[in-house]
Amino acid sequence: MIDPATIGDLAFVAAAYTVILGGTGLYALILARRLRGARHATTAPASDQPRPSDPPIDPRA
Amino acid sequence: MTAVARHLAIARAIAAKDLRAELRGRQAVTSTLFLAALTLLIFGFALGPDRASLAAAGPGLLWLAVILSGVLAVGRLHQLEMEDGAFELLALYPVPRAAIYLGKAIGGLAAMLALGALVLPLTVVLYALDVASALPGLVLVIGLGALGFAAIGTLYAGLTVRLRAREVLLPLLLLPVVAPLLLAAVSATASLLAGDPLGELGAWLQLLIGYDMAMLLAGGLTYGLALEE
Amino acid sequence: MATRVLGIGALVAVAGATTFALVGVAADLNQGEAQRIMYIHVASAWLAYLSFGVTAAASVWWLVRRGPRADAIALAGAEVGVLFTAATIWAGMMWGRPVWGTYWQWEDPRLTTTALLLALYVGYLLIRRLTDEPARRATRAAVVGIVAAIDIPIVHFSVVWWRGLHQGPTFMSPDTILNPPAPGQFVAALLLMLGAFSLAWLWLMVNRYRLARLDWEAEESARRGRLPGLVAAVPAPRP
Repeated sequence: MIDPATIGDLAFVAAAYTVILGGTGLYALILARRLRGARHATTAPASDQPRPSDPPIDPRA
Repeated sequence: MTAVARHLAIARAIAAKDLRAELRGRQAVTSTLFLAALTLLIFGFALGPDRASLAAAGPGLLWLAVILSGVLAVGRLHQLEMEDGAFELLALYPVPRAAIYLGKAIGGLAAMLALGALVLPLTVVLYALDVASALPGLVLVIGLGALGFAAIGTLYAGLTVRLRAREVLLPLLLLPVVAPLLLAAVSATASLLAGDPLGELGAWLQLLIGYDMAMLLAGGLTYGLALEE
Repeated sequence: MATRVLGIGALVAVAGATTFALVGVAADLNQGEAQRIMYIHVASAWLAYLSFGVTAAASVWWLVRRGPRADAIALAGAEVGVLFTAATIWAGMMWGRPVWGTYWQWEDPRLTTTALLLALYVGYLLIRRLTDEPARRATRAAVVGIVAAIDIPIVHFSVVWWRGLHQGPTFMSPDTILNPPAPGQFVAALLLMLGAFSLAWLWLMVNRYRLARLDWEAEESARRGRLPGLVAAVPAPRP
């Protein structure tokens, strides 16, 4: 199906596709990351309160 | 007094106030006009001394000089007021927002016409454009172009005047929006100077008129929103 | 969860459509391999216009109702639209190079219009970035979004006339020089790409919208925490 005579042209086309798909993919990745960060920021409790993941405060200390 | 007459009276008062303030603080007017003249001179250096190519580029350079200095001119009209803290007071006046917009736009139109009045004879001198036969048409084109630029320039100047980065942002917002105005005005000017060989002048004038009306309408409807923040 | 399914579906669809467009479809008889760029070019252009239409509608919605949802939709449309406009221009240039012999064809009204479109909405995103207060930002952006929507048809007319009235060297438009050996395949590849890109578009829009809503709420609560005296003076936007 791929003609060896036009392989260079096809590579040019593939490069054009790669930039668009790569750029869109990068945007999607950044978007997903920012969304995760924003969700974390709004659901996280204020910093002066102990978080569930913090170790329990030892009363003997 | 009818509603229309009331709008016009308010608009005239605001425009007169703006122009008086501009003329008293003379250095701003002078420097904007000087910038337009300088732009024309610098374009000449950029394009080289060939008379024919300069004359061919003349209509485009004329409008570029008007528009680039025009960005400064319409920005000035709001900035002066902002610096004095008068912009907030203007927003508090119990008058229709469209009338305030109209007044500001008339002030901008006057500034743009002054620019056009300077730049046109300068292009004639520097680029050897032969305008004698086309003068009435050129005045009309400059008037329509100035009106359209003042209409959208006033809206965007009002929108950006409170931003710290307004000097950069105003041209960035304004230049793409005025691109069709530039295209139509340059094409109309070029075809006037050539004696309208292709009979396309009417189409460009129609486009200019349509642009002016669309932008005046947009400004009249939305300028108040920018003011009332 | 549904968004995750949509995302995976979009990924698979784009991969499939790209494979089909690159190696499945036969090459065009006149343009050869370069014509394959048209599939992604047309799909991107469609979605760019759709995005800006969404922004225009949401801008009007904000000015009428002042809901934070409207502003979030307007922002999502503008940002995703800028992405797809850039993709459209890139694809157009890469197509023009082998077919027209030049990256930039000034006589092509679509290419020049699209470039201005990009500039208009980059300006829209800039004025958003430079305004701090959410409701004020939404109003300023909405005005710019509406002016841009008014400007687009004028830009299009002016550029079409510019070419038409000037009688310059007439370059053939893509519509007349396409010569697919199998028109059915050509249409299938185009529709496939369009469908796949629409899925990706939807995923991007939904997630950008969500991010905008979260940002808005974070900004509002930060303002309330820091400036309790000022909040009372600024009327809260109706939800």
